[in-house]
Amino acid sequence: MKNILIIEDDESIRKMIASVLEVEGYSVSAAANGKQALETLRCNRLPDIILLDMMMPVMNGWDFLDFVRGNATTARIPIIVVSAYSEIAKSVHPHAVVPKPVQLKSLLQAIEGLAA
Amino acid sequence: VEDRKSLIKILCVDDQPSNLLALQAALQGFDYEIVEALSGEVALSKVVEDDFAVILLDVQMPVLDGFQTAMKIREIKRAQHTPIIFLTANYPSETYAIKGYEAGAVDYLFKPLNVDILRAKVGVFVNLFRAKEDIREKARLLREFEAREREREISELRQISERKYQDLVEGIHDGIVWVFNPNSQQFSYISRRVEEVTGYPVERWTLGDGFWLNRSHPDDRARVQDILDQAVEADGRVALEHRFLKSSGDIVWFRTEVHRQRYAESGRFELHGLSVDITHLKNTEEALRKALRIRDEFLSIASHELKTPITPLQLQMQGFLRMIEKGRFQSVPVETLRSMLQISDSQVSRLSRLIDQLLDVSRMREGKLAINAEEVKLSELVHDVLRQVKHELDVAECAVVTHLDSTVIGMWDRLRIEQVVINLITNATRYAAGKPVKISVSHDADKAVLCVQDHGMGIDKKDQERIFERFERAVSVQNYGGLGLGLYISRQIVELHEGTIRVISEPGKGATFKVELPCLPGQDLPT
Repeated sequence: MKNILIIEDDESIRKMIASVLEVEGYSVSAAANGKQALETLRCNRLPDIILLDMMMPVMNGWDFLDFVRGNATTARIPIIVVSAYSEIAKSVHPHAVVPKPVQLKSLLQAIEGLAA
Repeated sequence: VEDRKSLIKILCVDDQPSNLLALQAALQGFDYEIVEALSGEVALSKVVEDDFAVILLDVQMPVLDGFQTAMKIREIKRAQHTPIIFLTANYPSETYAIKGYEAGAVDYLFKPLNVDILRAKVGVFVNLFRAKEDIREKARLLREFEAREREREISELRQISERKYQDLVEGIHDGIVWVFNPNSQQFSYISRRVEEVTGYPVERWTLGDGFWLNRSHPDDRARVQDILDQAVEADGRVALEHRFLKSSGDIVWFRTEVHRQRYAESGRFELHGLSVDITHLKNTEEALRKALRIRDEFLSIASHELKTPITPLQLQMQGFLRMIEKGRFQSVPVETLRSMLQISDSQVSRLSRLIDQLLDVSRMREGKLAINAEEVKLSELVHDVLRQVKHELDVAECAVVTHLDSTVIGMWDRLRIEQVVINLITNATRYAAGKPVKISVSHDADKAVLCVQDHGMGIDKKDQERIFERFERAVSVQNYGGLGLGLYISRQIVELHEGTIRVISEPGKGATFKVELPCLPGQDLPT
């Protein structure tokens, strides 16, 4: 079972994405900001894909990416940036971009494209 | 005129000194000055130098005879019309007479001369000369008089127009009129109005020690110098908006227009300028720009806030549709379905709260927010609110400490005061997550006092008033949700109840929001 880490500060979005992905058969972990996500990476099995929101309190998406890409064990995890601002999303060179408001179809396509 | 009479000159031309003597004798006793010439040449030189009333000219002379002399006299401009009387011993034949008239003679006298006829004829021409001189003199006087009169009128007009100009210039309320000499870098004139506008007297301005530039706003100095240089070169008007430091230390904004004035006679030029005080305009412009910026920021926040709940709602619906399409609806655990529906339900509430806030603001702006007062026990109201916001407090990991005096009762709009308390507690969960929130209700004299104290980052003094304005918040939007309307709405509600709301805070030391409301007299209620 593929594991997906969702990093998103809005609780309702985070939970809803987790629910729909679980129904699709993924195993899901979640974090409300970059700092929580780094904790999750440290303590658990590494995810197969990371869904990342950029604008978050405590630790934003940019700082989180710096950590993940600077670390050999995490640098290769595919990143999908979920953002309302396509310019911002493209500027950090993720493996895929899902625009907000999130459409289930495009979310699943992005994940399936990377999980294959 | 008396003077002139004595100066009347008669030229007598004869090669015989005895004849000249005879003429002299004949014309003695009149106010004539007799000028003698012993030849045609001498006569011509005299005619060049002077005006004569009449010339008595002998016809028979050696070298230049009378006729030749007469013709040459006519070539001299001032003597063109001087009457010439020929003196001759011959009784003229007709051809001889015609020759004389062609040469310019007006008359003949025959030798030996008859003294009475000589005197009479000379007298006629002298009188004629005098009359002509008179007319000429009168014309001259008239011209002089007219010239003087015109000069007087011009100078009077100039004075009037200068006074008018001065009145006009000094009367301009917001404008300062000035004349500047670019060579000496000095004002040669500046209207009195400058004293009221800048607080510096006219004398200070005209000293010419670079006063204007020195007191200009540092960021504008180069531009002020620039425009003066430009005006010297340019043919038209040049304009600039710039700031000047008043004696009070305040800033005055000027719009200055300058043009070059060149004086044709001397080639000298000056700069003429008008500086209008546009401080008020600038401030309005600034306020307007700020209002527009705040509105734009608000619109961007509002659209983000309104869009955020759409994502989970849409995901839930698309998820359910997909489950049906894939035929997995039956196999999905009920708990998952319930959790998804609960999230969607909370998102619909979230949307409706945002919309309520927007509606409240527009109602408040129109003064249409109504208060439905009823007897409310403040401690009970706070308990109710804590039940409503329990989830937010749990998520933010904010423990709640309460000190609630149950005797505090007032005539308030229950739902509106609830809204205030919800706003204050929600703010605490947003800005002081993970830290305890203290809520107290008490009496202070005849007032009910509600305090919500958090242990967050605190609020800088300069922001403490601003946060109660519409669309304002003390920190950047990025990390905190909400429309930035909560405190604005809270203050409006509290003020409609004739109460007050304020914040007591220091950066790094948390914030206490204190609401004071008029209340009913304290009662000893059983606790």
